[in-house]
Amino acid sequence: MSPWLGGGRGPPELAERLLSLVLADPTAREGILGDLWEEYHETAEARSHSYATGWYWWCVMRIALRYVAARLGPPQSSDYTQDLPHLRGLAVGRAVARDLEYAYTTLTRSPVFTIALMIALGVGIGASTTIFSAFNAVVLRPIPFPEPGRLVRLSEINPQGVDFHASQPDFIDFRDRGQGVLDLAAVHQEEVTFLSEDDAESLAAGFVTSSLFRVLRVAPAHGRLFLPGEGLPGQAAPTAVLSHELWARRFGADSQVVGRTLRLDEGSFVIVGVAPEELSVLQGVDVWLPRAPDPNVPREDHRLQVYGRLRPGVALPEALDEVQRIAADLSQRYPASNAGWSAHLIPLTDYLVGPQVRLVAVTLVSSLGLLLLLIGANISNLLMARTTARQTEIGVRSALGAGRWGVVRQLLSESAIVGLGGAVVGIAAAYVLIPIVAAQPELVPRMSEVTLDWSVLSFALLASALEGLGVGLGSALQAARLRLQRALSETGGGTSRSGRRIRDGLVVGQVAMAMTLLVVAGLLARSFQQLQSVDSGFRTEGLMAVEVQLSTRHAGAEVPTRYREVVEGLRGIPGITGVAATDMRFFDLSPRKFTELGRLDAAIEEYVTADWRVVTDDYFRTTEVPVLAGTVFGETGRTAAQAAVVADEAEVVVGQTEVVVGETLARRLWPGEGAVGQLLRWEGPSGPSSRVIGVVGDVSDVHPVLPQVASVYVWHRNVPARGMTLLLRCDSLPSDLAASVRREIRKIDAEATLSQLRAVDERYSDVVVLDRFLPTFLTVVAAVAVMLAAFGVYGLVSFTVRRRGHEIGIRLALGGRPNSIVLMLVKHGARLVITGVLLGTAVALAASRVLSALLFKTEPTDPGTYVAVGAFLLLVGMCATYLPSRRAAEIDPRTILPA
Amino acid sequence: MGNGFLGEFEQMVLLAILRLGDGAYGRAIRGELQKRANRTVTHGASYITLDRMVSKGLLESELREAGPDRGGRARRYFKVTPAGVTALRESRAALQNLWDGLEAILDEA
Repeated sequence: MSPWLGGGRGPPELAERLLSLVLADPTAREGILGDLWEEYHETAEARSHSYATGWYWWCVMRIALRYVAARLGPPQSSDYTQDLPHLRGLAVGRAVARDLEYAYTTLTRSPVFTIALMIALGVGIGASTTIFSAFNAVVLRPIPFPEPGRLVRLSEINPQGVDFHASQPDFIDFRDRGQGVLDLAAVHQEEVTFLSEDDAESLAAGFVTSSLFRVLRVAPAHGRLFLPGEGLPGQAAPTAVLSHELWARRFGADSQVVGRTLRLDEGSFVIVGVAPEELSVLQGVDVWLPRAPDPNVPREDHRLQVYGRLRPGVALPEALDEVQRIAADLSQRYPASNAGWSAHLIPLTDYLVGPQVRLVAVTLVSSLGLLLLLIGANISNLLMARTTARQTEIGVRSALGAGRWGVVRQLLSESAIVGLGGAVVGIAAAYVLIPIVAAQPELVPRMSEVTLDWSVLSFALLASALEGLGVGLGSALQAARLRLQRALSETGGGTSRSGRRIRDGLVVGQVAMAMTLLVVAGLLARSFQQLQSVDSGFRTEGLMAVEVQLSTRHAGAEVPTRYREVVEGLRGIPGITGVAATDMRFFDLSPRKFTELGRLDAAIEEYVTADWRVVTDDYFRTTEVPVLAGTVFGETGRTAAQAAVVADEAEVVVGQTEVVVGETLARRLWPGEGAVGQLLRWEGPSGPSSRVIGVVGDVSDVHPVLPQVASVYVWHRNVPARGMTLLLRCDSLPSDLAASVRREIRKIDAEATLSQLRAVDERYSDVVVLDRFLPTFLTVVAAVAVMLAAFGVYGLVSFTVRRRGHEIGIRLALGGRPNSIVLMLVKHGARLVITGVLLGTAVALAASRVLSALLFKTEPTDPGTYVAVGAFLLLVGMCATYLPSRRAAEIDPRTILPA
Repeated sequence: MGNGFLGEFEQMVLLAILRLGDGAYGRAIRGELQKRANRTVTHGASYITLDRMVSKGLLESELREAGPDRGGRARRYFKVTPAGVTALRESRAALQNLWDGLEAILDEA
């Protein structure tokens, strides 16, 4: 904890500030704070700091309350305000203060009860405040650029409806052929190597059009940003803008950095400025480099992320019309590459947050809302039970002339104080919890922005005010209905029928809410179970991966040779049974490389979207992806029959390569035929062709919920990618594996960069972290809910036993069998629990329909979950009913009936 | 004082301050009440009473520098004013008048 709340060497500062606010007179303030300081230190010495902190808060609350009450307080004898109508407001203030003071006295008479209430309320408020703060940061708070609502993302949509980045020539068309409704900018991310005297580091470079900063309307933190025209080919001195993070990390946040040279493997760049911090929201880029889009690259190459700002007075549909019109025009003009392609615009906020995250956030917030309601219902019930117990006191007050309204006002004052205490506990809890949540950025993007700010604090205060008022209302209304005569007749024979009905209703509500939460948690848990049972198609266990980026020193056919040397070197390490490389990253949600594939004679409409990967020799043996037919790259010992198939193929196209296809692609291109030996065409009827040499099993290596996609594998020797993921299959993990890998790589390229060596299993855990977090979190919430509901049922039945003790005593005395009395009570409890379960089922059914987008291979109406959860809740409810009921049978009639 | 006698608690506070002499500040006063009169007084009640008595003119207070163990804050010392002494005398006289002649009965009980 911080010294702000307590935990430092001195008294908690927040408490001191609070008291200073209340104590208007500086002399009194000085004296009291000084006295408390002395006592704080004595207490801390005698007991402990944490004890002293608690003691301090307690004293401060009591002193503050006294002073507030006194300031508004009972009129002095010389007071004349009561007689003057324009000062009546003051008199009302005094009446409220009197109520508060009386409520305070009443509450402190049973401190344990009061503190328990405040803690129950506070925990609920603290938890919801924390979640609200996350919701606030992730969903509600706009992205940190001016007029964020006018920012959009442009994407191109292929004939199959898949969303793509834009190609460079297409971007130029969108930018230049529009009617000025959109100001567009493009970013393309690539890895570059940063070279300093003693080491090399892999950096994410954002190649941008100079318009990006104008579109986002950001100002530099230092120096300047790019000027129009910068990044055109042939520019004399290429410029660079550092990201705020790189500037702090590699340049010690030195403001003199502007004008210095940045050495990358791409060449030398003059640092002209430092980007503002908020730019990191858009893209995790280390360095920004200007690059004008190239009109001469193929239109099939979709790699530009395009952002835009709607010009003043332009609405999104208008802009959407325009880009779709341009896209339609492009598809006519360039049918080979653009036939069937369209374009789409979405608000940037939607793109950054995404519907999935939004849904997760809404689920979290609503589940906590339910929990808060449940806590409220629970406290309400407690208060009502207490009001009943206090009916004699209330009766006396009424008899002495307190009106109905006076009694209600007093009870509401009590809950207002409880609500205030709950808010204090809740804010303290949130203060502790929020940093913990903010430290989990992998859970949800932008989580690190979670803070305890004013909107979060207002939420906490509002929630506790409503909660306090809500819980007080039930008991206050109940009290207002008390019949004076009956209240004073002391036997406590019973309460009004409506009071009973409210209490029963609250218990039903609690069970229903617990049921709803349990069902939701159960469905999500089942969904996660399904997720985990997804077969990845290869063996992740014992597979280690490291990403390698060779420097630009190596190019062309030399690259695969270098990689082969690395692989050969690593193969010798004991414990390693297989080494291979691929250009894709396992369980990484960054965009994949997609292409269109078709049969040799197919029309463009029949093409299939497939992701394509580059792999080295031995890839399939190392990953243990099963080879279903034919052969794969570099596999030694091709059988004579397979070789014959290859030789038989007469139509060899120039530049033709061999490919391996996944099962899905083979089935979609050649249904019912063998794929091995067939020819396929890339990117359209005029594209290059390849021969299929083998078919392998499908893999799920991005995220288990993503549908199985068609995939095609090409040989590294034909497509010499410099950035590859090295895969090592290990029987046992050699202790210095990372060092060995580093050594082997350095041998062939001293400037190559490497990522951390990690197990593929671990990467899998990272990618499903949210899928695991949600059910875990909801299970905790649901468990608390079930406990609270059980507590509610237990409390109600105990209360009934106490209230009807007299009647039960008479029944027993008249020969009633204890068992039948227990049965009577259990029946009543069971009715409430069953009603609650049914009601909860209905609510859960309604809610689960919304939830279905979060569920994987799990029906939102999954009967197994509903039945299991309902049965569990019934069991808990029955226990909570039975235990206190049994006590009824133990009542001794002699203690009840007059001798 | 025109508006009647001192309350019991007010009398106790005034007496405790007189007993403490020069050293009467908030904590010490509460300590004295606890020691002599076996009365546990909450912080809120004692400070608010002291403030009220200052505003009634029965007490006056001044801040004096104290040691480092108060976080740099001064102590507020209280002194009974002549009006306070008069009020105490009047209260004692009134009570004594009532007590007179009752010793026999009360001592028995």
